[in-house]
Amino acid sequence: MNIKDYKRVMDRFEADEKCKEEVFDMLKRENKIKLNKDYTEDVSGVEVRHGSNITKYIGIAAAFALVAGGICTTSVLLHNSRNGSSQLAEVIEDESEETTETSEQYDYYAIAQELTDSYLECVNIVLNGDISYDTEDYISFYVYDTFKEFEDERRFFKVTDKRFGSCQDVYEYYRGIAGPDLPENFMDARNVDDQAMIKLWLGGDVSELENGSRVNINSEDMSSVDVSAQSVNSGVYIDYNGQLYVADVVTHPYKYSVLDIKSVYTNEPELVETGAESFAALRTINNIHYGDDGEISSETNNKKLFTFALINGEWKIDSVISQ
Amino acid sequence: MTSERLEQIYDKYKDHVYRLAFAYCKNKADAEDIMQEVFIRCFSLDIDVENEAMLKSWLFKVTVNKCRDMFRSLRYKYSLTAVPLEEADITYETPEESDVFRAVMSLPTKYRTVIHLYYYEGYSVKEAGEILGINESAVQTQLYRARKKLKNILGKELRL
Repeated sequence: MNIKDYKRVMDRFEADEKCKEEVFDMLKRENKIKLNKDYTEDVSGVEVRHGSNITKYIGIAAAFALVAGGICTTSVLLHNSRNGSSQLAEVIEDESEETTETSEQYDYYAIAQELTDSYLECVNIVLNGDISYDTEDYISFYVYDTFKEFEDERRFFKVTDKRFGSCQDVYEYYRGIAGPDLPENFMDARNVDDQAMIKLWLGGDVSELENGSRVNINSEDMSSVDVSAQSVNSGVYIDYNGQLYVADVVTHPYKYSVLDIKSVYTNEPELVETGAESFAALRTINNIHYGDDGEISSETNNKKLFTFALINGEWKIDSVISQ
Repeated sequence: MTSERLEQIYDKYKDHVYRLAFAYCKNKADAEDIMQEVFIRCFSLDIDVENEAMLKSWLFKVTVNKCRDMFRSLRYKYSLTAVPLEEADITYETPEESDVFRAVMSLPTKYRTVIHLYYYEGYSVKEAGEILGINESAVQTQLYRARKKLKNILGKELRL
């Protein structure tokens, strides 16, 4: 048996031709002009009609009557009301508001900047533990690995940021900005296929472990290691006796102290596409490590494509794709 | 992009995108839906790069994300505990083809995907990791475990 058997079967899979028609039909319907920049709408078969002279004169008279009526109404408004000027202002204001609503002009750049800045702040809080904490109030666990023969302290500081009292609070903040489709509870989100990283950030409740105790994280058989042990070994946040704690060091994915990393943008938003209900922008993220030797840039230059969608009249991040 | 360029991109990559989506979804209808969404997204964002390899891996990234979105949807989360392989459109020419293909399709989703990218599309561990959004060691671990599972299912080592 050979993997080539898989390849041969897979080679016979071909997308149905009707899919192509559907894709291009949809694109044409939704975005005719973009498909072909030279697109011009030719109008043919238009019948040109000339009105009679009598109709023309009646039309001019009617237009004159309308203008005269408008002038009279304005005069009455100004004359009759004690607050005549403000009433007029209200009328004008209402008209301008209506014009703005119908024109749908968005400042895409400003929206992209605000939302991507919120995203980065979220990344720094959730992944990098960029949060206020009490250095005097901490708990420790001593993780050891019988397979790799090592032991190390995992120290967690009590979070003092009033917004976050538990891992669930951190998760809801993350979900609100970057993952609106995720389950409501962070423990459920840990089991979502592509959200395994949530397990690394949010360790959950480890109150069953005694402060200062040794915790076995035998790497030879990860399936037998209990959830609390995994959480203190790799979690950025844990819940302990009803309080939220943040790690000072995590083993994965960074070798650095998690509290000493900060993600920053190296460029301003670069608009890629704009549309009535969605648009996209590119930004590049770099990681800065604040070590004993000063500031070290990781030069990761991770380019992210943000797509935004207008949902119930509010712009939100729709997806974040690494480029 | 001109209409000709869009068609060129579609014709060149449609089967690759479709096959990756099938490897993930295990049925033709969902794979086609995903393929269509991927190209509509690509074309509506006006994504085009001179480097064809980059374009292909971008399409694959979007494909994987779309598949994940689909599996997160209520239909997959609450209606189906295990997604069956839709056999109706599959042609096997030898019993070995049938055994190997079914064995790969019986693997958990993440193992199927990594096997497809690594062995079928010929991506390196690093490239597969970039497409899947996981690090190299995770790809290597998944490949190792996938091979181990395949050996258990087939009763013997699969020649690579």
